[in-house]
Amino acid sequence: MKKDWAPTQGSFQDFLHWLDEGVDSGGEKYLEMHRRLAAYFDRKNCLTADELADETLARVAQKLQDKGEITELSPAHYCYVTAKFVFLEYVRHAKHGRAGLEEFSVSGQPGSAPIVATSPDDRGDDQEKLLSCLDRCLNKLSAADSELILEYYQGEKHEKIQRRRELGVRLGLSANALSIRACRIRTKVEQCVKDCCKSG
Amino acid sequence: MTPPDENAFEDQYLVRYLVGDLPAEEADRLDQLSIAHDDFAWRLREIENDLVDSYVRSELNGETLARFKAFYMATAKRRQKVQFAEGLRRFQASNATASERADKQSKSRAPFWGTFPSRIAPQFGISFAALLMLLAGYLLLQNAHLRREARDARAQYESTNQHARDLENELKQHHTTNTEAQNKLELSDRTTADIGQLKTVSLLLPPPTRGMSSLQTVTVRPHTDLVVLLLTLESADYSRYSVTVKDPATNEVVWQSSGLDAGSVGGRKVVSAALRANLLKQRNYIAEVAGLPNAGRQRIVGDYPFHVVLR
Repeated sequence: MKKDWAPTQGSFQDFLHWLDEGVDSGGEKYLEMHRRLAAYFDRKNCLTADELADETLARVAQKLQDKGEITELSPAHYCYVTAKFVFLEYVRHAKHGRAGLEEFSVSGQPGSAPIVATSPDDRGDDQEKLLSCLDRCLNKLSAADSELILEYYQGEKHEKIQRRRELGVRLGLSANALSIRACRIRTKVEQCVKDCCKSG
Repeated sequence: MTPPDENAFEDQYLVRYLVGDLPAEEADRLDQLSIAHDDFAWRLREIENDLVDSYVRSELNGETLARFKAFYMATAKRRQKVQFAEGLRRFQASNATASERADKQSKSRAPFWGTFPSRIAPQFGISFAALLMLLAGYLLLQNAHLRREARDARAQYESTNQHARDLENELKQHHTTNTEAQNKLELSDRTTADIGQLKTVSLLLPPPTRGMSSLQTVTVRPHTDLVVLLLTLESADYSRYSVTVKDPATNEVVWQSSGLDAGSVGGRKVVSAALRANLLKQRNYIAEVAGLPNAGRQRIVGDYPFHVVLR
């Protein structure tokens, strides 16, 4: 792992520009890529998904600085390839006890006990705090976004599908565009709640 | 990389990926797409959000539920997503409960006509005659038939004649200023004088928090063009308002408009909302009024339930 490397201000700007592929996203592409990488490592049950995402992006930025340009693959694809290497190294380190993978099991597989899942009913002070943070974070949104996320994720099965269809018609958005918008807002609120809960 | 077709992967297939139920080779392919393909990445996130929501709503079962508990819940990061989903579900549930409670309260209140004078007059310091004038104005505007009845009523209250005419003029002004509704109806070429030719039915709805908002009925006849809701405000705290008419049974929004000014009817502040009559069916509706501050998010001012009868 190349944890000792840190980008200069200039090289980091070049990296952001390269990720943006010619359209200035104001850093959003970087954050989105970080989220995707962290989710990838998390799906691999890595204990430190966020750090591994940091590591991946740092390596790509360093490679870009060293080479001056990367043209053989799209930025996102290049990040994926790098992430695979980071993951393989991580697994190798894990086997030597220097890092860890979350253990999991599926009922029926021998030799491991299933993890006891947190029940939806298992709430307490944490849930109250989370609700308070959620309220605070929803209030930070525009009224339109706040209503959208509450309405989009409400209801069960068919009711939910119908509700989303109507919401799309009302907002003049295709199902795909509405879905992306709802996901963006939810991601934003989730991050806000996470920060809020951490800050106490 | 070749991007996948839009429907290349069934939702259930992506669920299996998320709960670690795909063979390694297939999972690798989706790993790549989840990072390098924008549309796929967003779709996967959508499926994941819905999966987690389904779990907290106890909608998962069988193998999916077992794998969700065993695999998905294995990392702290994913457990946080579950906690968030649970929080969101509770937040939505508490909102719905509060809304239902408000609805029940408004429905359980005493009938409007029986209690109107005794309950309202002392609170607002309005004379009984003035209240009758308000009612006369309301009747005048309901439709041509009701106008004739209103004129009879007006005759009975001769002393209130001038005030009633004032009310009628004010309401006509509301019609003319409701440009959005007029645009939708492609009636922008009609002048103020022509507004009177529109077949309009009006419904005056009292403030919902004053105990007088038992379910009121508006009768819509076949040739009615516009239904004008006159939503009485407790106080005019905002310069602009938005009105959303919803079907409370489905929460479907039937009509919405924003940037509406508050006017004055009989000394009370009202927001008028003119919507096409053919948008309404024979059922209950709620008109939700929200104040629009100069900065910040809008605030709900009140819900005004009403019932529509089609003749």
